[in-house]
Amino acid sequence: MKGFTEIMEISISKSFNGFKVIENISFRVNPGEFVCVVGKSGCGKTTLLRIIAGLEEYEGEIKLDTERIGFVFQDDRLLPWKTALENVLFPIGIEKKIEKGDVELAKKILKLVGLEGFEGYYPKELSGGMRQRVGLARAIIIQPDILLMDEPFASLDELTRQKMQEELIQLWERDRKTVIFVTHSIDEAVFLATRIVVLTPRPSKVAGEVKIDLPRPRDRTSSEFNLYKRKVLNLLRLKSES
Amino acid sequence: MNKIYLTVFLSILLLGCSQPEGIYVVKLSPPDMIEQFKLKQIDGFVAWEPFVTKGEEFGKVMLKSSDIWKHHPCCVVAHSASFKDDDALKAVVWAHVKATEFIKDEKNKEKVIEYASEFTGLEKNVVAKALENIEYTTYPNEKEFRFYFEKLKEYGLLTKKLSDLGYKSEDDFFSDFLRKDIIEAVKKSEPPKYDGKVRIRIGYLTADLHQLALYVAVKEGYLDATSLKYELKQYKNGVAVMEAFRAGEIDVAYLGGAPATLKRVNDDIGIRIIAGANNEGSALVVQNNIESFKDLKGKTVAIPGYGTVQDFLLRIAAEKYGMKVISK
Amino acid sequence: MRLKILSIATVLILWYAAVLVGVLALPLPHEVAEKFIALFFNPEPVLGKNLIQHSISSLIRVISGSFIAFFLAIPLGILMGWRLSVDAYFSTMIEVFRPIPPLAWIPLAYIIFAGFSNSTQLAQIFIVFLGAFFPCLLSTREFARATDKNLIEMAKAFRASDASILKEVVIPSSIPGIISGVRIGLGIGWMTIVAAEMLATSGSGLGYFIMVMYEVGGRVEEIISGMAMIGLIGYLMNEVVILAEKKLLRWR
Repeated sequence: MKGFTEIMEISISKSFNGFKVIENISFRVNPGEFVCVVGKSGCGKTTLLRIIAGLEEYEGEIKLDTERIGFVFQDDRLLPWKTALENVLFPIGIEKKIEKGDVELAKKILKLVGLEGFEGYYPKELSGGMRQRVGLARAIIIQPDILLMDEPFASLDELTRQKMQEELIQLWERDRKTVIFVTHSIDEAVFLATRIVVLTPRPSKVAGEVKIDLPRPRDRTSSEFNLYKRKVLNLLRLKSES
Repeated sequence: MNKIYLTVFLSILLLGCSQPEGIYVVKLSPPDMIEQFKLKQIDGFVAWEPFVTKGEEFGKVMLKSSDIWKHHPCCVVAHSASFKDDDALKAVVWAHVKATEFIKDEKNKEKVIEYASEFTGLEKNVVAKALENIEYTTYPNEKEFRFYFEKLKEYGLLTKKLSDLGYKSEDDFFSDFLRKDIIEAVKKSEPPKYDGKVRIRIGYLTADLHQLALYVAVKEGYLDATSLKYELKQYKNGVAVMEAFRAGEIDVAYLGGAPATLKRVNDDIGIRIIAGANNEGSALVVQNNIESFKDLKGKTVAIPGYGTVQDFLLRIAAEKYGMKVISK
Repeated sequence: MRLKILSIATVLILWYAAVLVGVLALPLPHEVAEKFIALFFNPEPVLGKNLIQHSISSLIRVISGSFIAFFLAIPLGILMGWRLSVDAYFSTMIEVFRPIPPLAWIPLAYIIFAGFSNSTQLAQIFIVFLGAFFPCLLSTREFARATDKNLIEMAKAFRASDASILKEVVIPSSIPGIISGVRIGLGIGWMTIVAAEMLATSGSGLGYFIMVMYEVGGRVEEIISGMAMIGLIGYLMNEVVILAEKKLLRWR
C-alpha cells in the first residue's frame, strides 16, 4: 500500500454568512507524512478537513490527485443497525456488491485494529474505544491514499486515548499512509506527527509549522518531547496575543 | 415463511369458493338495492313499493308477493305498552282509518298520487304505479301474522320462548300483541274528541309509501280534528323504531310487522299492535336476463333484513323450487 | 404474566358482579364463552357462517386495504422525510385529507367504485386503505426526517451516491417508524373495517355479523362473541407486529 505520489497543496479561504472563518490556510503535505493540524477550538480545523473531503464549498485551491480519501470522525458515526463487520464493509457496499474477498479483508482489518471476535457486535454493544477502532477500520478498508482524522480520540479517556495513539502509529508505520490528523491536544500532535501545522484563531491561517524529529516509539516524558510541545505552544500563544 | 402465507391465502380462497349451490342472499337497505341493481351488482331483490316500481326501470318483476304469500302482513301501527292513554290511541287510530279510507277512495286518486309523491319525493308516475300494488288496510290479517310467526320459529330466528315472556300460549300472546279493542271502538264513532293533556309522539319511517296514511291524516286534518296534540318523529328503519320504543322516545309508531314481532319477542320490547297499514306490496325484482326462478341458482338476491317478510318471501319461493337460500 | 391474568380476571369479575347485581342486562361471561366456542366452529343459523368465516372475510379486506396503504405510504413517507421539497409538495394535500375520518368516505367510496364489479368490497378496502395510510405515512416520514445528519455526512465523505444514502442510511433509519406505522395502521384498519361492515352491507364479516345479530334481536351472546373475536384478532395482529419488531430491530 502506498500513498499518493504527488505532493498535496492546499491554499484556501472560507466564509460563513459573510464572516471569514478561514483567512488563508496554505500548506503542503508530502506523501507518507503524518501531519497534525493543531489549533484552538473553533479555529476551523474540522472545516478544513471537511473541505479536503469535499463536504464543503471553499475558495482557493486544493491540489490533490486522488479520490480515495478515508475519513475518521470525532464521533464514531457508525450505522447502529449494522454490525462491526458490516460497518467496516460499508464503503465497499456503496460502490459494488460485497464479495467474499471483501469480507475476508474486513475481518483482517478488524483483527488489525484489535477487534477480532467482535465482528458480529452492534455498535451499542461496543465501548467508545472499540467503536472508534471500527471507524478507523472502515476508513482504511478502502485503502485510501490519504486518511483524514478529525479528533478521533477526543472523547476517549486518557489511558484508552494513549493506547489508541500507539496503535495508530504502529498501523501507520506498516504502510506509511498519508495522514492529516486534526487535534487540539499538543501532546497528541507531538506524539503522532512527523510535522505539525499550527493554526491561528479565527479567521485562521497558518501560524507556523514544526517538524518533529524524534525517534519512535516516542517518550512523552523526555525533555526533547517537551521542548517540541513548548515550541508548538509558543506558536499558538504568539498568534493569539497579536 | 412465505410458504405459510401462501397456504393460508389459498385456504382462504378455497373456503371462500367452496359454498353449496343455491341463491345467495345479502342484506341491503332498499335504496342501496336500487343502486346496486342498476349497476348489476345484484341479480335481484325483494322489497316493497315504491322500490319495486323503481327497480322495474332496470329489470323486471319476477314474482309479486301476492303470488308467493297472499295477504302477507306488512306495515302496522303499534303503541308502547307503557302508554296507557287509550283515548289518545283512539284518536290516532280514528285518523288512520279515515286517512286509509281517503286513500282507497277512487275519487281521491289524483290527490293521493300528489300526496304520495310529496311524501316519498318520487315522481308521480312512479308512485302512481306503486300505489296499484299496495293493499292499504286498517287491521292486519291475524292468520297471516301467525303464519309469519311460524316461519320465524321454523328458521330459528326467535331466541326466546313465549313462556319466557310470560304468555301461557301462542293464543294468549296474539290476543295481547294484536290488540283489537281500539279499532273496534273507533269504527262505530264519529271523531273522538280528545280532551286529555298528552302530547303524543308518533314515529314513522322516512318516505315509506306504506305509511302514506299518516301523511294523509296530517294533511287532510284528520289528526287535528281529534284535538290531539302530536309530534312526528322520523326513523330510518323498523329496528330504529323499536329501539325508540325501548328508549321511551315514542308512544305510537308506524313500522313493519317483522321488526315489530322479532324485537317484541327477542328483545322483549313491550309493544302492542293497534292497527294495520297495508298488506302485500312487495315483489321479487330481477335482471332482465333471468328467465325463470331456477335461473337464480348461484345468483345474488338482496333482502332488506333477516327475519323480514321479504326474507321469508324469498325463502318460501325458493322452497317451492327446491332451492336453498344461502347467506353470501 | 401474573398481572396479565389478574387484568383479565378483573374484567370478568366486574362483569359477573354487574350482571348479578342487576346493573347490566347482559348474559354472564361463561354463557358468552360457551356461545363463542360454539360459534367458532358451527355456523350461526341466520347467516349460516361461523366466526372463523366471518373473521376471514373481514381480514381479507383489512389485509388488502392496509397492504396497499403500506405499499404507498412507506416509500412516500421516506421520500417526504428525506427531501423537504417532496414534503412541501405533498404535505398540504395530506393535511387536507387526513382529518377526514375514513368512515366519512363511505358514501363517496360507493359512488367512486360503483362502476366496478364487486363495488362493496372495493369500497370497504378503500376505506381500510384510508384508515391505514395516514398513520403509516406520518410515522415513516417522522423517522425518515429524523435520520441522523451526521450519518448522511459520513456516507457522503465516503462518496456515497444519493441512492446509496437512501438505501443504506435513510431507509434503515426509518424502519422503526415503518414498523410502528404498520402497527398503528393495521389497528386503525381493523377498527375501520368493522365499522364499515356495520354501516354498509357486505354479506359477511364480523361487523356485519354483529349488526345482523342486533337487527334480528335477542342475540346478545352472539354480539359479544363477535366483539370478542374482533378484540382477539386485533390483539393477535398487534402481537405479530411486535414480534417482527423485536426480530428486525435487534440493533436497538
